[in-house]
Formats: sequence, structure tokens, C-alpha cells
Amino acid sequence: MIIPSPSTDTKPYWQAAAQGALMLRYCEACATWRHPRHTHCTCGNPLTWRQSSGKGALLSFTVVHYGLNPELAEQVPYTITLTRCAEGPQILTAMPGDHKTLRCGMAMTVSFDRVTPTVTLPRFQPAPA
Amino acid sequence: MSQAAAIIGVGESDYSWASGKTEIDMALNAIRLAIADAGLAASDIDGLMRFSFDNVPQSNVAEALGITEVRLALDSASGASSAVTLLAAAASAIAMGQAEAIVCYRSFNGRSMLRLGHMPIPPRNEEGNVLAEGASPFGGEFTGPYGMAAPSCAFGLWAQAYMQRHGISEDKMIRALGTIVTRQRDYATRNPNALMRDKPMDFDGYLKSPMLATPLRKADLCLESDGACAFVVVGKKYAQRAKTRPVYIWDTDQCLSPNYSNFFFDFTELPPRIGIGMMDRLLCRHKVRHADINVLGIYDASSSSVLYDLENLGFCGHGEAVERIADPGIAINTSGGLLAEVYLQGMNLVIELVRQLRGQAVNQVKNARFGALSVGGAQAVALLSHEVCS
Ligand SMILES: [Zn+2]
Repeated sequence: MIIPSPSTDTKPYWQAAAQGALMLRYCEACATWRHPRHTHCTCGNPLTWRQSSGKGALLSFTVVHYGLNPELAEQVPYTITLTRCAEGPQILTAMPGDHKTLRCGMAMTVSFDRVTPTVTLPRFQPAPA
Repeated sequence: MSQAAAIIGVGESDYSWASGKTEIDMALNAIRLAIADAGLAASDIDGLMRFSFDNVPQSNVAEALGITEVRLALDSASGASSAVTLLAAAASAIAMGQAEAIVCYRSFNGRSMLRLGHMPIPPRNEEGNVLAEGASPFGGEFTGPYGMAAPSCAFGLWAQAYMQRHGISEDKMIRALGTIVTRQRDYATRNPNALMRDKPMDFDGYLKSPMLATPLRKADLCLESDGACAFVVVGKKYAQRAKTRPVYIWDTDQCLSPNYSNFFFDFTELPPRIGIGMMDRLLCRHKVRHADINVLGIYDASSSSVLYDLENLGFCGHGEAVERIADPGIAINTSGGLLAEVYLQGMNLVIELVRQLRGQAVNQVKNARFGALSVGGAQAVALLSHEVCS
């Protein structure tokens, strides 16, 4: 399994995921949301962590059928999705299996997949109708 | 932009799947051929430029060639746009009198050493898991755990959004992509140094290529390959007495996007609209029209890049390239490109444009007068001609 190896800066993101929360970065000065990898706003202010609604819209997706390395060869097919959170930042996740019926623009919602006792991956999937 | 800078020499190593050679050995091979093609001696070379991520330092090249004084050694940090950055930097340096004969090179064992299309597996931890770390768009902590392992996955995301935005059916998209792939594979059959020279592909063959990341097949993705390219840029003095027909660097322009290198999927519009208006402005500066360009090199990391670049560069409207590609009225990637010749990150496209504008290409475009290059997903463009810039 391929698991995230957080840095000091990104550890809170994965700790929050294990608690069932999707955290994004936020600039108090600009009232702007940013992707979790950033530590500072372009205005120069340090970013804080703030919880996302966990809702968004599907920007695009692709179904991967070919194992790009031996580890992933055991996981194909899987569907990579790119979701624009309601707050703005774009989060990439994936769903196991072939979901070719997804449609760009559809409502998505986050869930949390505990893949090992210590690692939880946020995953976006279509919001229930 | 200098009006006098010209490419007067080009050189390539053998292209292969497993060179069995070091990258410096391949680089020196290509560089020596380029210097000989230019009719110069190694001692005439006073500038050396390369991609920042090339493993062959200028100092080692200079030492091996016996160049004791290098006036200018530069690295391009613009990633996939570097082929144009090197043209721009070399032409500017020539115009400023910083050097008189500059070798630009790229050497890469991109199959036998580092395969960019396949996320390398780092060491496992004690539980047997692979640790994905860092902010890389491919295999980093926010991407690797989700199987986002190579640019092909990003290109799949872009293509799916492109189809939906413009209401393009899957059939129509596949037809357009297949047209690009089969055409370049056909070009490659006549190019003795192309890696796919013995592997023509018809549309049925294209459909049989395994699906990689929908809607893109393996045949839609560029090669992973070994080889080296080099070319020599000079000013008026050497251009006038070159033994080949000089190919002048009329102009270049660049609009590097940090998103392109850092986080492929931060673009809010997919595929990203990069370089809109850049080609129009460049052509306008020289009173050249799109229709005057006879041959085009497009950085075809994926066949789909050809569609997006045609649109972003103004050769057709957004969403129209799937139709236009059937009869684009312009020859594209006539060596086979990155899909079928070799993956040397656009440097091989420069060499092919030089051959075309000299009238020496294997798939020669009749009376080719203007060639244009677009690299890095339309982040950087160049205009070349065998005529002196007026
Ligand atoms: Zn701010």
C-alpha cells in the first residue's frame, strides 16, 4: 500500500482525517482558502487550518486501467477524481473500481477510509441524491 | 530578440530503449555531431547550456571537448519548456555579445535509468507500506496514496474535462487522438533514428493499444527512451560562413505556469488554458500569420497535448481541434515527435524543425519557410525560419 508520509507542516491534515475531518488552509487576512500543502498565503500571512464542509463538485476524473508500478498494478482499475471543494481548493482523491459513469460537475462529498490502523485517507465520492 | 542568432548545427546520439551508455557519453556524441554539422571546431564553442535537471554538467562537457574557457554556462529551470528557454537564452546571449557559439544539449537515459511514466517505488517501511512524501504532483503525499503516479493520470483528467466542456463524444475524441497517433507513427516509419520506425500503427491497432487512464491509451503517451540531442546557436559571423543553411531564431516567448510543474491539478480550468494570445502577439510582431507557418513542433507528452496546443496557440478555436486535426493544414511533429521518435523533451522537435527549414527532413514539407515550436503545454513558443528576420 502507498501511504502518505506527512511533513511537520502537513501532519495536522492527516491527523484530522483520522478523526473524520477534512482540513484546508485558510488566510484570516484575505478570507481565502488554500490547498493543505501551503503554509503561507501569497499575501505573506501564515495560514491556519480550518475545517472544510467536505462538499464540492467533480472537476474531472480518469479511470486508470494500467498498473504504473507493481504496487498500483494490484489496485487497477481505480478512478482518480479531482473535486473542487465548496471552499475553493481542489483535492485529488480516488475510488477503487471503474466509475466511468461519473459526470464532471456532479456533487461530491468526502468520506474517510481507514486503510491501516494509523492511516486514514479522505476520499470524495458522488453525494447521495 | 536577436535578429541574427541562428542554429547552424544539430546532432543526435542513437536513440534506444537501453543505451548501455552513460548520459555524458551520449551527450558528447550528440554535441560532437552538432559541432561538426556546424562546420566549427570544439575550440570555437564558448557557451554551454542545458536543462537544469540534466545530469551532465557543462564543466565535464568542456573538459571532454578541450574547451579551456567557457564564457557562458547556463541551466534552464523551466522544466518541459526548456527547449524554448534555451533557444531564448542562447539568442539573447548572442545578441548581447556574451558568447559567439553556444551548444545547447539534453541527454537522458529516460528508460534504462529514470522512467518518468512510472512512479518509482521507494523503500517500504517495516509494515511493508510505501511512503509517499513531498509535494510532488505524482507520487507525493497528496497524490501517491491515490494512484496519481505519472503525468498520464493528469492528462486523463484533462481529456475527460475537455470532452465534457465541449460536448465531444468519446467516439469523436478517440478518432481525433487516433489520428494524431497514427500520423506520427507513420512519420516515424521513414525516420531511421525514430524508435518506432518499425512499428507503424493503423487505427485498428490504435484501438487495441491498452487503456491507460481514460480516455488515453498507452499509444497516446510519449515514449520512455534513451538518447541525447544537441544544437549550436551562433551569431552573424558564424552564420554567414556556415556550411549548412542557417535556421534563424526569429522570436520566442514564454509564460511559465508554476501550477504546471508544482501541482498539475491546481488549474481551475481543465485542460489549462496556457499562453492564450502569446502566439498571436509573437506572430504580430513579425507580420507573420498562423497560415504562414508550414511546420509545427508540439511537445506531445500526450497526443491530447497536440489538440490543446493548437487551440491555445490560436490555430483554431477552443474545442475545435478534434475536428481540425483530420486536416489541420499544417504538418505537426514530422519526425514522429515524442510519441514515436524519442522523448528528449522537445529538443528533438527543435532538430526536426531545423531539418525541415533546411529542406533535409525525411518527411519534408515542400518549401517550408516558417517553423514554430510549442513546448511545455504551450508555456513557451518559438518561431524559426531559414530566412533572416526582417
Ligand atoms: Zn492572505
